Parts: sequence; structure tokens; C-alpha cells
Amino acid sequence: MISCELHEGIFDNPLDLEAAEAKGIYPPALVFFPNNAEVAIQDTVEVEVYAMKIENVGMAQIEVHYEANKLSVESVAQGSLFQGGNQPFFITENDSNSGILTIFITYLGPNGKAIEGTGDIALIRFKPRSMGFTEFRISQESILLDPDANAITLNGYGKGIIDAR
Amino acid sequence: MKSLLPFFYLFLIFSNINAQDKPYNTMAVLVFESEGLGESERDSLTNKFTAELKKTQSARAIVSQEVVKEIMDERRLSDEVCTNESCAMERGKLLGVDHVIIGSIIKSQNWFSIEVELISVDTGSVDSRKSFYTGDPIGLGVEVGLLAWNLMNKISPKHLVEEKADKELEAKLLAEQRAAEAAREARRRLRKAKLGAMLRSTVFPGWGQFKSGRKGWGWFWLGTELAIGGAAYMTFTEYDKAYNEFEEIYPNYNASTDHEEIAVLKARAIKVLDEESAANDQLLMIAYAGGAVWVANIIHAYVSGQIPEQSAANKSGFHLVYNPELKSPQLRFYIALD
Repeated sequence: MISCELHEGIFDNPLDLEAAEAKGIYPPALVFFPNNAEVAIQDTVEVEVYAMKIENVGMAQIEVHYEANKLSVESVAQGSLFQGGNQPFFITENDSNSGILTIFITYLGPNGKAIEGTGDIALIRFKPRSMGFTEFRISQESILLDPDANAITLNGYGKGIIDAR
Repeated sequence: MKSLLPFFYLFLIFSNINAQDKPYNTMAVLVFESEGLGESERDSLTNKFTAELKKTQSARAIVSQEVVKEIMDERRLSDEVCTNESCAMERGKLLGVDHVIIGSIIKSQNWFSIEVELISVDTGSVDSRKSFYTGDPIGLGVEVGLLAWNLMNKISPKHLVEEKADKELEAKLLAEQRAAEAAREARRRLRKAKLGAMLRSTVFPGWGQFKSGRKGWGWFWLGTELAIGGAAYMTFTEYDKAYNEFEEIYPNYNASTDHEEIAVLKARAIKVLDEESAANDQLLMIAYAGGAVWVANIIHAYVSGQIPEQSAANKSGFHLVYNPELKSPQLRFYIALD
């Protein structure tokens, strides 16, 4: 058949509200950006943890599950969402045996502020340990709290895939 | 001449004794003028005529062709063919005869004509003239023989008349054979021309038609293909524009982290994608149309074939034909009514 090359038109930007909705993710939600990557085995992959359309958030505890035999966490850096007011408190805890990375971020003291909107909370650098596909996801154990420590219901938890070659 | 002439005159004396009833005394046949004949064929026919003339026993003596040739050679006149009365008189005097026969033979592919004249050497007058025209040169030898009898106003011998009938039948069969061969050749040429036209039109639309003399059709097919090509180019330009635009938008969509920007870029990308798809569909349709027109052009080139070369010549013209009822040649004028 004679035909020109056509684009497939896969619209799967993790921050595309329509695309997220199609995957059952509704705001407020926590997602990865980007949510898929192809890398060489020796390279690292930078993935940001994004809060999607959140309101009145004062603290977050985000649990990222990954396949410990296929991925390792090289580093975790604070994102740009929690800015202003007191210097935010940002710590991480990585259990490389069970493949669980926990990120804590909050404002300390009376001048803590509430944040809203969409933005990156943390930047994770993964390194593939073996070739092939590996998945990582935000656990439903993740918690968002308002400045008065009331829980905010999350409507979506993102997933990501790395294809190491 | 010295070697043969004494024998000739001796022959005259002897033949004079028993040939008082013959209408002519001495006679010579000069080499005929010819057209469409080789020298040997012309000489052969002249000899044949002379031989038949002798058989008519109309003259007391007829100079043989060897003698005529030898005398003409001696006078260096053998290259000049006699075509008029004065020349005939001159040659007759050289040969020492009372009468001279001159003639002409014209041979073409499908017809021939013979004309002979008996000329008195003394007066230069034409005592007798006969001509003959027929449709096929196959019976030329027989007709030359018959003409000798006609010229002397004698009844033609039965074997010659029968031979003539045989030759006519042979000519008829030959004509039929030639017609069949010509028809076969025409069919072969037509098939070849059709295949040639088809191949040319396969390589380039309209080329076969141009080559076949159908310029109108040639321009039609070429023009149609060019129009389709133009439409294809324009559609491809649209496709290319949409393709490149998508290439520009899509990475921005993937890289964007702003919901509004993502929505705008996505809407633009989808629109461009639709344009790309529509242009591709249109391009596909045009390609099929172009292909169909190309195939139609090839088929047309084969089916229509070549305009017959003789068509133009057949529009009007003149032909020299033989009318068997009148037994004479006629000039025919014709025009095409198609």
C-alpha cells in the first residue's frame, strides 16, 4: 500500500489532565514526570515527583516503590513546589533492599504556609541495575496534609516505566 | 558485320524463291526501350518477340538479334535505344531492311505495358502499331509473343493463348497470395505498432499516442497526468507542512508541565495530526487516480494503435488502373468519404 509516514499521536504527558483522567488519575494526585524513559544501562534517569492540582498542602510524605533488583536510587533532590515562608524541611529515606523510597517535606514553625497548584516536589535520580523494563510507582500510603495536619484525599497515584538497554 | 552479313543476304535469296506470298520483304527488330527491366530481361523479351515474329512467317527474312547487335556494336550504337521513326529509318538503312520494329516495355510491380511499331524504312511511316496493358507482369513473356502475332495481324497460336490463360490464372493466384501476405504483414505491423505504443505510454503518458499520430489524445493523457501530478504535489506540500508542524509541537507538548499549555499544544497537535492524515488520504486517492489514468493511457495506446499511414494518402489521389472490360488502362481519381 502506498502511504506517507504518519505520526501515531500518543498523548500521554503525565500532567495532561485528559490523559491522566483516561488512566483513572484525577486531581489532586501525585505523578511522575516524565513517566517513561529509555536509557542505556550505565546512564541515570531523572524523574520528578509532581503534585497535580493540589490545594492547601502543608506537608507531604511520599512513598515511592521500585524494583530493588532492577533499579537503584542515586540521589533525591528537593523540587520547586515547596518554596517561600520558612525554609522547608526535606528529608528522604531509601530502603534499597525492599525498594521503598520515602520523601518527607514540610514547613516548620508558625510561619509555615500552604501551597497549591501543580509543581515538582522532588527530583529522583534512578540508575538501572539490569536490562529490561522496570516499573516504579507512588504508593497509596503517600500522605498529603494541610497546615493543620488534616489529611487531604488523593485521587491518583502515578506510575513510571524505565526501559534499560 | 562482315562475317554475318553475307550469310544474311544468301538467306534472303533462298527465301525469296518460296516466299512470294509474305506481306513483308525484310525486317529487323531493334532492342526495345524499357523501364523497370534489367538489360538481360529486356534483351530476352526482344529475342522472344523476334522469335515469335519469325513464326508468323510474315516476312521473307528477319534479321536475327545477334546480327542486329553485332552491327549496332560496330557502329557504336548499341547503347542508344531507338524510340522514334527517324531513328528507326536510320537503323533500318544500316541493317539493309525494308521494315524495322521498335518498341517499349514498361514494367511495374503490379502492371506492365508493351507497345510496338512497325515502321517502313523507305517512308518512315508507321505501318502498324500495337500496344498492350495488363495487370500483372507475370505474363509479360507470353504477351510479348502474342503481340508479335497481333502486329502482323495474324491469329495467335492456340498454345500461346492457352499459356496466356495459364499465366492469368497464375497471376490471379499470385495476387491472392500477395493479398493474404499483405494482410498478414499489415496485422503483424499493427500488432507491433500497438505494442510499441503501449510500451511508450507505459514509460511516459501520452508518448505512445503521440508516436501513433494521435496528438490530441497524447496531450489529453499527458495533461491529465500533469494535472494529477500538480494536485499530488500540492497535497504533499500540505502533508509535509502538517508533518513538520507536528514534529515541532509534539516535543513541546511532552516537555510541558503547565496544564493550560499542555491542553493548547495537544489541541494544536491533534488538529495538525488530522490535517496530516487528511492530506495523506488525499495523496493516496490522487496516487490511485494517477495510477488508474496511467493504466487507462496504456490500454488506450494499445487499443487505439497507430493511425494508418496511408490514411492521408487515401484522402484523394490518382491511380493508373487496368479495366478488364475495356481492356485498356484508365486513370482513376478517388476521394475519401470518411
